[in-house]
Order: sequence, then C-alpha cells, then structure tokens
Amino acid sequence: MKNLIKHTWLLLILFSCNSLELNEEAFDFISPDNFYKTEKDADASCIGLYSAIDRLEIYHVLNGLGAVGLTRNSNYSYQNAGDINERDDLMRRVWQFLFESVRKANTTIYYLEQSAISEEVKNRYIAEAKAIRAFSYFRLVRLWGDIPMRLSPLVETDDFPLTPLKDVYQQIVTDLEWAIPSLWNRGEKPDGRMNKSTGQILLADVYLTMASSARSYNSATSARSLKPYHDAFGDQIQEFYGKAKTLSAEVISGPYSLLPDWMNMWGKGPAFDNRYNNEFIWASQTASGLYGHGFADHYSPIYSEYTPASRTLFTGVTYEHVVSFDTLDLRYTEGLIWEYNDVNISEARGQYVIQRWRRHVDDESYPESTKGSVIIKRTSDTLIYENKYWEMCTKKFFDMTYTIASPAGPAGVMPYYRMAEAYLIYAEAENELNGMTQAAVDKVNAVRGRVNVGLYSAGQFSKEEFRDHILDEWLWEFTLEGKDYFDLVRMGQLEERCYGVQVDRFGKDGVENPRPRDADDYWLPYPILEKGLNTFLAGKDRMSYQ
Amino acid sequence: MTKLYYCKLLVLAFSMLLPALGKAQQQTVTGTVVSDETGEPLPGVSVTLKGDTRGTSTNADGNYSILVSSRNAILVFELLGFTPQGVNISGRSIINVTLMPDVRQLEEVVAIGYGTVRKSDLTGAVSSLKMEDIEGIPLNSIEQGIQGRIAGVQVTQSSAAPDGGISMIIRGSNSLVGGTEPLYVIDGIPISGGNEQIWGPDDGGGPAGEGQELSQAPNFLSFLNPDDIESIEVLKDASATAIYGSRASNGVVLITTKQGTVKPTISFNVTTEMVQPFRRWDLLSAEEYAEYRRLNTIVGEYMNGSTYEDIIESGLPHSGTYSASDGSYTPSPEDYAAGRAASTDWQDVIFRNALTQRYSLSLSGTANKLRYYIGGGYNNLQGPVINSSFDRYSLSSKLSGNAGTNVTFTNSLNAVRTVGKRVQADIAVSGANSGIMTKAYRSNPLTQIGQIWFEEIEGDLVGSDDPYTLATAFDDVNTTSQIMNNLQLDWEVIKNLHVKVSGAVRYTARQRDMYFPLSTQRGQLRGNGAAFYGNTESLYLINENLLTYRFRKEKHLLDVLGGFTMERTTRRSAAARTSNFLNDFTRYYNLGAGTDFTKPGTGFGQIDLTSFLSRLNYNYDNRYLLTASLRADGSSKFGKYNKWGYFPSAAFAWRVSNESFMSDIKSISDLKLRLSYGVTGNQGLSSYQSLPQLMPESYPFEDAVSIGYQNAIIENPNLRWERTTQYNVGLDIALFNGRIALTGEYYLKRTADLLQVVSLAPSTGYLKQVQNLGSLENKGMELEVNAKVLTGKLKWDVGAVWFKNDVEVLDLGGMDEYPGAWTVSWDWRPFPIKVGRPLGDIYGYRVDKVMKTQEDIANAANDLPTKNIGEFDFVKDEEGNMKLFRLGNTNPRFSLGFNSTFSYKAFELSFHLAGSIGQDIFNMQDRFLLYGDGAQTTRDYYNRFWIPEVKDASGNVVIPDNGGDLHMIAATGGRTSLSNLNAPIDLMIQDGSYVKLRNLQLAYTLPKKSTPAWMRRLRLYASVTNLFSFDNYSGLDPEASVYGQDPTRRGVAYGEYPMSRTFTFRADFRF
Repeated sequence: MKNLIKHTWLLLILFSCNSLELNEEAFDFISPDNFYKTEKDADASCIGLYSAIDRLEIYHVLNGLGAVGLTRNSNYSYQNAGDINERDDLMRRVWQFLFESVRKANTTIYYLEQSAISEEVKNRYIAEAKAIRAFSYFRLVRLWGDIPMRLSPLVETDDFPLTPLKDVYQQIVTDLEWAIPSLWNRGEKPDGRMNKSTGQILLADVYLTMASSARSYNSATSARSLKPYHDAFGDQIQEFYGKAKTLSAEVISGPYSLLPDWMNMWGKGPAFDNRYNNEFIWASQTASGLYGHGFADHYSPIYSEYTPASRTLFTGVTYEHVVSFDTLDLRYTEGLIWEYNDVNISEARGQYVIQRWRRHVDDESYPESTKGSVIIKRTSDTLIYENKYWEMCTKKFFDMTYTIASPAGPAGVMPYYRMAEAYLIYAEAENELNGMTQAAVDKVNAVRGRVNVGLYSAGQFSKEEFRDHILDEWLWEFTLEGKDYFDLVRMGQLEERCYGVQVDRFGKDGVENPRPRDADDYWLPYPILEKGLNTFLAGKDRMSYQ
Repeated sequence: MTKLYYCKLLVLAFSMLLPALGKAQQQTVTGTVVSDETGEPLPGVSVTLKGDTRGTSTNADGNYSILVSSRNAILVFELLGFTPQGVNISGRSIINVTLMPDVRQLEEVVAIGYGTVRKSDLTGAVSSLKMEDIEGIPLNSIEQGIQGRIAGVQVTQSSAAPDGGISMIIRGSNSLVGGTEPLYVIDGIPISGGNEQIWGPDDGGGPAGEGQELSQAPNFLSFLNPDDIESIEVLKDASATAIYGSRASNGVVLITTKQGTVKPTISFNVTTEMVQPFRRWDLLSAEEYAEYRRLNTIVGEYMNGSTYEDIIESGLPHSGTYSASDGSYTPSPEDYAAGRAASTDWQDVIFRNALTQRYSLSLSGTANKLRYYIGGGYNNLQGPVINSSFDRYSLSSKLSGNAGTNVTFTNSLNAVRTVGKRVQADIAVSGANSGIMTKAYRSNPLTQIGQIWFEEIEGDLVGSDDPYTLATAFDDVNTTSQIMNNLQLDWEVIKNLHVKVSGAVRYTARQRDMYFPLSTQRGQLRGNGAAFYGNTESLYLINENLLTYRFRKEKHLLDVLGGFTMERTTRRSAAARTSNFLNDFTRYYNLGAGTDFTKPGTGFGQIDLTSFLSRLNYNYDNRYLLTASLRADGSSKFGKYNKWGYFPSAAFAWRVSNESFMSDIKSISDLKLRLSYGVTGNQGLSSYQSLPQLMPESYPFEDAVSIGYQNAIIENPNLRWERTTQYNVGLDIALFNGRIALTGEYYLKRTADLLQVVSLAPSTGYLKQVQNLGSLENKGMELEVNAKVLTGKLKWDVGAVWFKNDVEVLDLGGMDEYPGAWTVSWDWRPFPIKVGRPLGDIYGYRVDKVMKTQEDIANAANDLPTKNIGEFDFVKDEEGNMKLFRLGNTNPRFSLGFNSTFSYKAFELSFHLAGSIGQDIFNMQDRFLLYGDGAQTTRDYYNRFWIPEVKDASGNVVIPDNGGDLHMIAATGGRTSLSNLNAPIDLMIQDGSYVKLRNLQLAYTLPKKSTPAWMRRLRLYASVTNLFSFDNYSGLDPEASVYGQDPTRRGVAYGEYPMSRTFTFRADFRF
C-alpha cells in the first residue's frame, strides 16, 4: 500500500515536470525556424521561386489583349484591356500569382539576409531572388502601373498603399543593378535558373520599356495613357536607350547566341524538342513525363494526338496576323500550322477514334469560311458528329514526343527571353539614338536573314519608318510568345496595330471589327478581391494617367 | 417475525455458545447476508473484524463463516454499492445481516464531468439515458439510441450504410468550419472530432484551397458496442460543460460502460435481423423507358424541323424491326414488356434482403471485493445494398475494488476491431467516379450487367461501369483496431478528502484498402487496375490528477474539486498507390505487383493539451444549490499569443418544493428552477495551423525535377478557440409522487471568434488564412415529459421530447456574405452564408414556365443561358433577369420524439417515434432525373415532361400536346438549360419533414416458474425498425445528408444509401 502511494506521487511529479510551454514542434513539414541554415537550403529556397513564374494565365491575358493572339474560349478573349472588368477572374489570377512570386522572393531575401550563411555565398542566392522579384514587378508594373509594392514577407494587414509607377521601376532597376554582378554565370547553375545574361537582358528590356514608353507618349492619341512614363522618365529617354543598348550588347557578346537556323529553335520531325538550345537565355522548364505545363497543350493544334484530351483552352493567331507575313517567311510557312478534323469514327468495343489532320499553310489556303464546331455526342445507339473544325496555330511549342500516356503533359516550353530579343532591343535603342545606322540594321538583318526574307540596308528608311519595321519584326519573330501586347504599348501603337480578336469561335465566323481603343485600355483594372480587402485601393478603378 | 421465532433463535444461540464458553474465547460466527432491495442473498460481501485485517467473504448463497476471538468484537460487512455495516457480535454466533444499498444509489445518480451528482442536486441542463430502458432495440451505433429520446440533441443519420456516418448536434451548430460534433467522454477518456476516413484516390476534390471530402466518412463511434454501455449523459448547458473548457462548445456526451454486478451473472444474447431497403426510386420500367426513348427521338427531330414521315422513315429506336444491313433485331417496348428482350432493373440488382447477426456475451460479478465485468461481442451487419457490410469484434472489461485501506481502483478496458466493406454509395461527384446509387437511378434499364458502356456526362462520353459491377468488383475495406484502457485510483487521504489519479491510453489504427480491377472501366481509367493502401495510427495519452473534498456542517454541504490534466496525441499516417497490374489476382494485398507507383506520403503530428480545472458545489438545506467552475486550457494548437483559454461558469438552482410553504401542496413532489451562465470553447483546428510552413515547390531543370522549398502557409500567432457564451433557464417539475416528470429549458448561445478560412488581399501573395472572425447565435427551447400513465398490473410509461433551435449569423468580420461551400460543381454555391440569416438557406431559381412559343422565348429572362422551345423560363426580377430566391432552409423548425411502453405480466410492447419538421432537402440527384435527355428518370417526372403536338404531312395530329409542366421530352431539352445554370431550381428543393416509427418492439420474459433452474432469465424480443416514415420526400431517406457533418450544407441528397427496414429477433439469456 505504501508503495502504491509512493508511486502515485511519483507519477504526479513525473507528469508535473511536463512543460507548460505548449509550443508546437514541426515534424512532417519544414518551418522557417529550421530552414535557411545551409547553402542547400538557400538553393532549395531559390528553386521554389520558379513554379510561381511559368503560369499560363498571363499568356491568356496577353494573347487576349494583343494583336496576334486569340483564344478559343470566349471568356478569355478581350477586345482590349477596357473589356476586362474588375471582376474578371483570369486577370485576378494573374495579379495573384505575380504577387505570389513576389512574396516568395521576399521570403527568400528576408530570411537569407538574416541567415548565418557566409555573405559571399548567400548574396548570390539573394541576387537570384531579387532578379526574380524584379521580373515579376516588371510584369506587374507594365500591366497595372501603380501597385502595392511589398518588399517584406511579413504580413500584418491586408492594407498596403499604392506605390507610384516611377518608384516601382526604380526598385526594379535597383534590384537588378545590385543583383547582376552576383548572378550566376552560365554553367554554374542549370539553364532555366536566373543568370547574369538573364539579368542583363531583363534590365535592358526595363530600360527600353521606360525609354520607349516615355518617348511614345502623345497627348493627342490613345498613347496619352503613357503619361506616367513621360512624367517619370521624360528627361532620361536618351540615357535609358543608351543603357538598353549597352546591356543588350553585353548579352549579345555573352555565352548565348542567335541560332543560324530558325527552325532549329523549334525543331522538326518526331524527335522535336524545343527545350534545349543556345538561343533560349531563359525559358520555362519541363521534364519529360515528370513535369509539364500548359504551353504546348494550349498553343498546339487542338485534337492532335500530341495534346491531351483534357485541353479546354486553345490559343491561335488572328487572320490578319497570318496574312501580314511575307509568303516566303519561314516563320509563316514552317512556324504556323493549320489543323482540321476529319472525323473518322469506328466503334469497336466502345472505342471511338477520331482522325485529326494537320497541314502546313502552303498545302492549302487558309480557310476562311469552313469554320464550325465539332460536337461529339452519343445518344443511345448512335454517335452524332457534326462539321469540321479549323484552327491556325503555332508549331513553336508543339511537342511531337508527347503521348497520351505521359502523365505530365507535353514538354514544349515558353522562352521568357531569347537572343533575338537582345538583337531587336539593340536595334530599337540604336535607331532611337542614332537612326537607321549600320549597327542597327545588322541586328535586324541577323534576325531576318535566317528566315528567308529580304535584308535591309543602312539609311534605307527614316528613323520613324524603321521604328515601324522593327515593330513588325517584333510581332513576327515573337508570335504567341507573350510579347506583342507589351511591344505595342511601348511603341504607342496598340490602337493602330491591334487587329481585333474573334470573340466567339463557336457561333460566328470571320473577324470582328477592331474597336477604337480608349486610353484606359493601356492599364488593367485592379481586381475586385484586392479592392475589397485592401482599403488603400477602395474606389480606385485603375491607374490614373491624367 | 414472531416472538416465538426470536425465542428459538436465542435458544439456538445459547446452545451453540455453551461449549465455546469452556474453550479459550475462540468461536465461529456464521450467517447469511441479504440485500435489502431484493431480499436475495449477496455473494462476495467482505466480512472482517474491525481492527483486524483478517476476514472472509460470503459464498454464492450469501453465507459466511468466521472465527472470532472476542465476544464483543465488531464484524464489518462491506460490498461495493452498499452501505457498509458494523455489527457487534455481543456473544452471538449467528448473525444475519441485511445490507442497504448505498444512499446515493437509492436516488438516481448522474455522471457529470469529473464526478457524479444526485439528479436532484443538478444545477445544469443534463439529460440522461439508461441503456436498460432501450434494451433489445438493435443499434448499429449508440447515437441511434439517443435520437428522439433526449431533447436538444439532433441526431441525423446522414448515411444509412451499416457503418454510415451519423451527425449529432446538441443545441444547434456553433461553428462554420470548426466542427459541430460534441465531445465524447468514454469512461473518463475524452474523444473529440467527428467522422473521418483515410482519403482514397477520389475522396477529395475542389478548387485550390477549397478541397472537400466527396464521399462520406464512416461513423466514428462505430467502435462502441452498445451492449457494453450502461448509461449516457448529455451535458447541454455551459454550467455542465464548461468543466471541459475549450472542447465543450458543442456539448459533452458522457458514456459509462457497464460495471460488475453484485451477483455473478452470465449474460448472453443473440440477435438476428432481416434488413431490406425501406423504399426505392419510382423509375421507369424497361417498357416505359423504351417508349420514352422513342418519344424522345420523334419529338426531338420533329422540333428540329424534320417531318414526321422522315423521322419514321429513318427509323426509330426500339422499333421492333430487323436491320437491313446486318439483320439484327431492335426490340420494341412490347418486347420488353413481354420479357422477350433482356432488360435490367438496376435497383433490383443492387438491393437485397440481408441477414444481420449480433452476439454478446458477458460475465459479471463480485469476488473478494473485486467487482468485475467482462463482455465480448460480435456484430456482423449487412446492408440492404449488395456487398456492404460491417463487422465488429469487441471486448470490454471493467474491474473495480479496493487496493488497501482507503484506496479503490477502477480499470476500464475496451478493445475492438471493426471491418467495414463499403460500396461507394453517396459520393458527391457525377461522372466516372459517381457512386453506385447515382448509377442505379441513371443507368439505362435496357443494358445488362457486365456490358461495358459509356455514359454521357456533361456532353462528354465517359467510360462507366454498371451498378452491379461497381458494387461487386471494387474493394473498399476500412479496418479499425482500437484499444483503450483507463486506470483510476481513488485515495481517501482523510475523511472526505480524495485524491484521484488516473492514466489512460487510447491507441487507434485505421487502415483503408482499395482495389480497382483491370476488368472494369474505373480500373482501366486509373491505368490497368489500381490499388490504394492508407493507414493512420494515433496514440492518445491522458493523465488526470484531481482532489475532491466534501464538507458538511448542519445545513451546509460543500463539494470542492480541483485538479490538473495533461493530454498528448500523436498521430502518423502513410499512404501508397500503384497501378498497372498484370491481373486482378493480388488486388490490394500486394501493391508491389503494380508497375506504376505514385509518390508515397507519410505524415506525423502531435497535439498537447494541459488543463487546470476547479469546481465548487454548494448546497444549502437542499433548497439552494450553487455551482461554479473554472477551467484553463493550454493547447499547442493555438497561436503563440493565445496559448491559454479560460472558461468560467456559474449556476444557481432553487428547489422550491423543499420550501416549507410548499409542504402543503402534495401534488407537486418536486419543483426546481435553474439558472446558468458559462463560457466554453471549440478548438476544432487541426494542429500546426498557426505556424508558417514551407512546402515543397519542385521545378524541373535539365530534364530532372529539383526540390525547392517555399513558404506556403502564413502564420497566425493569434489563432485561438471559438468562444461560446451560453445562458440557460430550466425548470424541473415532478407531479403526483413522480408519476409525471417534466423538464423545460430555454437557452441562448452566442459564439464569437468563429474559425474561418479568410481570403487575404492577393497583393500579400497569400490566398487564405485561418482566422477567428465573426459570430453567430443559437437559441432554443426543449421540453421533456415522462409519465407513468398506468402503474397497476398493466403498466404504461410514456416519454416525449420536443425541441427547437434557431441559428442566426450575426457577423462575418465585416463582410455581408460569404459564398459558402460548393456543391455539384465549383460554381454551384447554393448555401451562401449571410449576416442576419440562419445557416442552411438554399438559394436558387424558380421555374416560371416552359417556353412553348416564340413569344415565350421573346419574353424570357434576359440572362437565361439558353433560349429554346421546350426549356424552362425562370421568375424574373425588375430588370428582367433571373431572380435568385431563397428556396428553403435545411434546418428543422422543431424536432420531436415519442416513446411508449406497455407492460403486462411477462409482455412488454413499446414503440418509438422520432422526427424533424420544417426542414428542406436539396435533392441534388433530381438535377439528373430532371434532365429528360433520354437518361432514366422517375415516373412522376416522365409524366410531367411536355410533349408538344406532332402532326404528319397531311396535318393530322399524330401525337397530341400533353400540356406537361416540365420541359420538353426531347433529346437535350432539359439538360441544356439545367446544366448551364449554376444554382438549384425550386423543383429540386423538397420538404424534408419526417416522422419515422423508428422502432416497434414486443418483448416477452419467460415467467420464473417456467424458467429452468439453471437459468435466471430468458427474455425474447421481436421488433421492427423503420416500419413507417411519414414524409413527402421522393428519394430514399429524408435524413440523408451527403456532406455529413458540415453545418453549412446539411440536407443535401445525392444518391443516398437507402434507409433500411429491419426485422429483428433477439433472445437474452441470463444465468
């Protein structure tokens, strides 16, 4: 009995020693407390930044807004930015994931700065994170102008004031200039990671955008909404063109190069793989059968055996863009493909096979009227199929190695920056600084020379005329690469060059007449979700440019 | 007793004493100990000499014999449950003793948290159910016994499957996402949570951040064998529950298992049940269906512009003709009617009359001061749908006794293994993964078992298995093994001061095995057969240390309780999946036989809870009763700034009937008024929700995936419990010497700091955060009446409960409205949560009419998704758009229960009614039945589909207009409009009021004289469960609720498992 009592008290004492702190200990997940300790952690933290960048939504919006792209889903086809209202969910998602990318970069920067990892090592990862933050803010500022620019991952409240466009650009420039010396040299980290050349071409693009946008401001046209650029950088246009030119020259002389054969970039035949080539300075990444994303799914011919059956969105090009090409241009004859269905259905143990055909443009003229939709429908004993389906699309992301059994989707990738862009940045800056010089013409000719079209000679056009030709080159070269909308805005040519989009692919044929653009159309509205929660944005529709 | 008897006794005593006088003071005392209550002899009574440890105990006949050395020694007779008695020998050698049951047992004692109290001393709202009162009623799970018997407790059987989920709500829903199920305390071990299952490959779905469970989890109390339970107490108001602090907001249910009887007893019972589906959908027969398809084609093509002659020419389905090309015959409706062509009634195929068996055996008694109960049970429950079953093997024991002077112990042990074979019935998805019941009402009756066929889902053809294959070919086995043990020690340090220390452990291992065979479409879609294995294991430890002291002086009685407790739960999980099997032989037994592996997942988590608790009960003269309690809970789940929560309560009761001025009123035997107030919490959070978390964010470089880590979950250091403040007024009246007892309660509950998943401004870079935001209110009334109507030879007892609860959302943290959770598809949010409204409002459109003319189309609502002849037009708002109406609410206006027991001699006849009135059902399956696109439908809808007039070339009416009030009977008539709506329509909302005759039972006890000597009692039962249901619902079970325990969307029916009617025969043997 005495023993029992003794043991009882022992039990009590034992349990009393149990701590009352009640702090939770993480077991099956990692918390910031037990991370950011080693270079491996820093590396993993940076790797974690990339999946927030290559989201499709921004391409849907940009193609919906731009001159050449169009999407089959009418929800994502905008006449122009003015058609996007504050409730547009796709636009909200773009806003959301760009800020998600910023927040992740902020987290990495914040914790690495506090980390005990040596300065020399951690600065290189901080540089990578800062360059990615700059890239996301560059996308945000071009679409929305003034934005809530958070630079810390600590969130105390939903409220955060708008940062003026000028300050956002200032931050982007500061981050990139700080980062470039520390960024990876090509080969130190795998391609696809932010490296020195990427930082340089990104900064060149930033300078070019600031300079051209400020230059294009014209109070008489729709380009009047570029006024914030004019007010902020109007006195630095020459300086910025100079920096853009210097930086693009550094990229051109760097480790990447322009491919002599344009088709090599996108490939031909069944072994095609657009992922690895020397022209892609920075591109979204895939791993065969392990990790894919939707570029190939959404940009390749619909109903091909190389696209997953689950595809619901499709992006093609406008008729006007197709006919703007030189008929010999490889980017037209080889780069574009039209596709139609020849429904050939056999019923064998319930299997339905639909034959799909693709043809290059020169096989047959672009069909203008035979459009329609295919409806496959099974009633009790028969299968009804109607009409045929025609689409014009790009072959750039068309992964011919893809099979339906591959779980991760096709492997075609989207380049964020490739060498041709450095050439055109150089040419555009040089033309603005010194007119149609030999240096400018050489850069444009390098791009044209590989696609079977005529070359320019120095002084052939005035600066203004050549500017237009350079814009043409931007649109042809980067068809469906998510560049055209930004190019048109920067050049102040959105209203003049936008062909309009075909709104309803199922119901109507032909092309809607382009609607005159309002100046508002250069800036997207703030999403309703943000305005409802962030009191600083309450009542604000979009960036004020008055 | 007569004088003569006394004399004889005296003579006998002296004659026995005489020889002893000569010896050295040694003598034997013998006698018999009997119970005062029954007069039966008491075995196992300890007989000791005071001041001496030696002793003996009575044998099975209550006799004892003890050697004593002093004529004036005192014999002490002790038995648990009886008042100890000391008897001075005074020279006697035969001492017969009558033991009185413990005073506290004379009056009904009810369990309250951390103790017991006389029912008359209760200050809070506590309802009690003795299991012997519902003996013989077949219960799959104990909640079924509570339904309709305790006021304020809404028990809903959300799935009628053998181990189907049951939801129990005490006094309304206090939470949106934090859970609304009560805290269960089983023999002192608290168990919180709700129904849960290991998620299989298709059990979750939804947009990012809003994933939800798509199939129903099995009932989480199904591990308890109802035969092992002695009593259930439901603690309702805050005075009763606050002692359980941060887990008590939803009420507390105390479950006490059986303990040893005084007399050795072997009890055995055997139950056999015949289970059948209570009702079916009234679907079209094969003949009607073929006719329907024919009409569907004619009308569809005619309205598309074909002439009647062309339609006939091109051939109708089910025409009864031979094909010109291959000579095959297409059967006509008449062929189907005559049975000349094969057809399938899919309900016939999957329903059955099943046989269920239950066995329980227990051994109970007292030996050498040790009271014991050991019970074992085996239940084999079969559902009315083929291949659904539930097996339970249980063992329960309770031992209690003395561990020396002033120390007693109780050890409760419960071990159980359950195996549930589930058919995937109520799965809230359509298409390839839809449940068997959904398939049963959608499947084409003209197809046969084993035909691989295609089902059209939202315009796509999807490979699909027939209901029979779905029910029989797939494996989905849920196995649970659990062991619980609780050892409690009670040491009376000095008189009335007790130290109580207990330690308990609960170990649960759950396992889920699934296999999708190669031979099925579903198995093919998953890649040539697929297997899944999931496992969770949790270990729960609790230590309680309590100090109680009772102080009595004159009219003052004070009970004090203080203590602290510590709990820890650790939990780990693992899941693995493979696919691409060579054949179906190894199934889920060997996942390695598949060749395609999905990344395995494991997890681990830990929760700590430390609490301090105290309570004071003060009783003045049995007239004024006061209770006050305070609990402090520190939980690891709370944010770091809010680790500790404090939960006070106070209650006052006035026993008016004990006042002197009441002594003249003889008709009122008891009258008590109760008032209470208290604060309780709900910590329905999973662990680690307040912490920031990094998650893997992999990304491929150079054709290989690299693992990255990024912050994915934002921290919330302020996260804490939901806080409910409750006020209660209660009145207890007993009339005519207790023949009528009546309890009435009114309560008001306000819950603040509601846990909610709140959207963050997207510019923060985060989507959502769990926050404490908003408040809601529940108020209601409860009434319980029990009456002994007849007490003579024919006894008649009745009991009735009636209760209502109203819930209202008071605040949503600044927002007026939340979209609420989704159903059907991601855009369907028919249960928006609005400030000032109750939960459970269903919003949708009202059908105005069917558009039968071009004029109707011109006048249709502007935003009608499609405008074709034969489609619905909906009631419009001022701007001419479809108007969103509040179509109903899923909360009952009130609930009721009634039970009645007649007993006459050996017979006992009882019945029990339970029901809920005024709630609506969102009948999601009617979305499909209403399509009218040629898929199976109900006879009612079929007769209401509009058939427009069809004329032949010469203008004769071939088919007359039937004036139907539903959309046109043509190919896609209904579906085009319905599938483009993102809200329900009024046709899908039905009155869900029901009253079920839950049970009708006849019991017969074999009279003593016909009972063999070796048997103590034989009792036979025959009963019917769910004999009638009075309701207007068109589906299979008005209680069905496919989202189970989610308070924001109850009452959603979607292919529910059919309610069963059960015929039961049971025999209870007692030896």
